[in-house]
Amino acid sequence: MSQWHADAAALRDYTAGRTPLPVTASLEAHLVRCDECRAILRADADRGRHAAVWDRVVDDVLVGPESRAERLAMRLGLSERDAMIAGSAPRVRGAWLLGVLLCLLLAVVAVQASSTWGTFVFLAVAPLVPVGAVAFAYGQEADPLWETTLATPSEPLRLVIIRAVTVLVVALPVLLLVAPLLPWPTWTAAAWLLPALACTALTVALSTWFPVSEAALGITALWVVVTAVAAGPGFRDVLLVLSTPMLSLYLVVAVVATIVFWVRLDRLATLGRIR
Amino acid sequence: MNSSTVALRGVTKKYGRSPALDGMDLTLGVGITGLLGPNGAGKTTLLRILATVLRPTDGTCRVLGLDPFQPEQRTDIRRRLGYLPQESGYPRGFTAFRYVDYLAALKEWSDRSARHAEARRVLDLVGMSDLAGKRMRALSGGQRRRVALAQALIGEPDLLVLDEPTTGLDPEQRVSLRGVLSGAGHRATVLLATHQTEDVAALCERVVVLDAGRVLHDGPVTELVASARGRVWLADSEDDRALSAWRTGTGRYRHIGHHPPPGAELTEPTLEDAYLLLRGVPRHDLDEVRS
Repeated sequence: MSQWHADAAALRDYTAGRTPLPVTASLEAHLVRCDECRAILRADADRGRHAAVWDRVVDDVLVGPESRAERLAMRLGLSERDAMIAGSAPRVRGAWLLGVLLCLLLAVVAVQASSTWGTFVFLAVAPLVPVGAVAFAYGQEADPLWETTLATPSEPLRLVIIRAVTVLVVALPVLLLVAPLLPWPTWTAAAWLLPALACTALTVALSTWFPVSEAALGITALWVVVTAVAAGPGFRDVLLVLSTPMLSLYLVVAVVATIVFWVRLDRLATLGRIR
Repeated sequence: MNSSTVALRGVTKKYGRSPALDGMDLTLGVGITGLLGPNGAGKTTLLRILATVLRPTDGTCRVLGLDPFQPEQRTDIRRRLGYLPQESGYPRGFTAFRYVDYLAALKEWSDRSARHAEARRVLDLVGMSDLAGKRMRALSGGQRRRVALAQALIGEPDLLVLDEPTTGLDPEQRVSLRGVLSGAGHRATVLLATHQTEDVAALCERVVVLDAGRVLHDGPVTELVASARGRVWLADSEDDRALSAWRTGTGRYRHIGHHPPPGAELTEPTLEDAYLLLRGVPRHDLDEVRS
């Protein structure tokens, strides 16, 4: 048995959780070998605090580990509640990641293929990634808890934005890295973001009338047709979808769709059509 | 009658052209009200409107003295509401505790330790404390239903809207949940839609029977049961004139109707008898009603 014993003040600080890490480690190393100090600790222990610590440990076990998305969201400064909302998105529909990855894989494969075909595939797919993100973010089809969630005081718009951004935070940087690899002028490497914005705004606006998955599917089909028609035979004129008149059109569509969404926003707070 | 928590006037809800609710008037105060009716009677539609998640096509609606379709007032209602939908899914990977914790976070319980304490409390109320760490997908249907009910009890809401809370529960669990709900009914307005007439008889002071989107009966449970007095008989053989008749476990036939079978003896009606009598269900539809 050790002849040295821990200082009473140090033990009190340890009990209160005020000791620095090296002192804590040293005290714990001593406490496991010293019955006398453990007895002092037991006598001084704040039962309430121990109970609280125990509850916290039990809760952490019951809650389970935080998802990567939650940890990332908290590192980015979101509150615990918002991080939970963000983190529930991949759990709500695990398929989103697979879908996004497939899109990216397709885009990368396209870059490796012949230049016009590759550019066409990228332009047909990349602007739809945010549409997919929104489609998996909310609504009765995407979220098994949607009806229960609607009856809570949480703002549906906040939930939609947090979840959609969670997906985009992962997908957009990869697309932005892939875009410059394509054989096109530098400015066009970013220009595809404008049709992406228009498609996404249209999807959320339409989701105030239709289920979001159907809105996303409709916009996806529309965009693929638009790019295919613009590209023409052999996809020679594929960059036509990024011409100045078309970019102006996307901007107008994005602004109008955003206004429509804002006006009809309250529709998100209730169930849409019941099937 | 206590001051009303819920007041509906002429509420209609149409899906396409067919009305699920047809000009409904309803007032509810503190206490437990049972909502009975066949499938498609409009029970779930009514509960969704009261839970502020569905807009009526027409009519006025006040919940907790507020307008559920004014955004700010709706949020205030939702702060005081507990809602158990008919079908309550669960995200993959959630434990029972995590499920309740997540919904408590959505219900503005931002302080972690207070939220966890509340999650423990409501899981304990529904008898799910021991399984709180288990994944939702590993729980039985009845256990999942109890966890879903737990989230509705978060924060002791002033209005509890419950769509078939006892579905999938075994008799012990149902009795235990009756204790929980009856406790809530002392201080809150509880509306309970169910197909289990025994639950209504055991729990509710008042019963509302819906049929084709209209209120067929609204009054004390005892009054509805009393309306069947003198119209339920036990007999040794089946009588074709009975509105409903079935062979019981004793081998005798239970007859509900307006004409006593030969040699029959009157018996005390149950709420189920009164419900069948009220609806005037033809015999060939009896199986469907009782399912």
